[in-house]
Amino acid sequence: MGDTRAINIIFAGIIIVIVIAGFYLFLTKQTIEKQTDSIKGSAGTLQTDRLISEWASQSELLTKDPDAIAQSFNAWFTLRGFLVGNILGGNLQYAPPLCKEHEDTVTCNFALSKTKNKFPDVDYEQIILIPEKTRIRHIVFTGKVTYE
Amino acid sequence: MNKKGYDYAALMVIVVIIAVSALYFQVIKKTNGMNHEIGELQASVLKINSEVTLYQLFVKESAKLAVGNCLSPTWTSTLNQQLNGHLQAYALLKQYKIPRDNFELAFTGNELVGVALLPTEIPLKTKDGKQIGTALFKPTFSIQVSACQIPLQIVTTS
Repeated sequence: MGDTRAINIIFAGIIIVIVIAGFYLFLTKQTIEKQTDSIKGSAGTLQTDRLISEWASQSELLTKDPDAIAQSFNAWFTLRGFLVGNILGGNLQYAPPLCKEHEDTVTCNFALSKTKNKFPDVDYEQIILIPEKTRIRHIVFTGKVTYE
Repeated sequence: MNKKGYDYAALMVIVVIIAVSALYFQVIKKTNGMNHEIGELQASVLKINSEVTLYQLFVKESAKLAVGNCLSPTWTSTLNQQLNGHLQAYALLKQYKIPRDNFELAFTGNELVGVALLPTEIPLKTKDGKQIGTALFKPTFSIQVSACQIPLQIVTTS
């Protein structure tokens, strides 16, 4: 009788330890996943920032019409092995960015990834300012990117 | 097991369910409350590289617009004044501190080179807009001399 009781107590103790350990493992997993997503997002954003600034500093077409900007962007990134697309109605299509001009702002909708296996899922926005004689032209790149 | 034993076991089940639920909600609360991201500050510092590349591009394009007549005696100050207009507009949009009349100019071969004497102060900001420091950067530009608008002088001989 006394032995059975001792075994039951030990068994109950083991179950409690397993439950608490399970919760802490769950917490660790959640934290690691959250931080991994965050790091991937930051890395993707930084990489895209660097590439876009590099393209902008080499392009002579930022003062031109929106189509020229889109074609220049598409050619530059495609040459470097990226897949350029745009997102229309939530659907990704592999084509040059969609750039439209309204007053002093050119807005380009784009998507950027390295492979077709990974859908670009990190929101991205970059504004390039270009001086003109009497105003500043804003070129806004908005869309989704992935670094994987 | 007698009745007392069943009552005790039932009470234990209820206590365990309550304790486990409380622990679960604590864990979820802790996970969701963790807003600090790894590398948040470092990302702001790394982002500066792209920022200054775009700033440098703006300075270069501004210089192309401001270059004017390079042979004019007041050309250096005129160019700096023109640059002031563009760069102060940029400073306003980006919250930079850009010194005025800041460019030293020189001709090297076919190029006109401009170098900032004092650095621009660029705020380092996190994703949520909190300023964590200031970066200093001296922009330079290099444009083709052909951008100079030199007026033609027509000499007539009788």
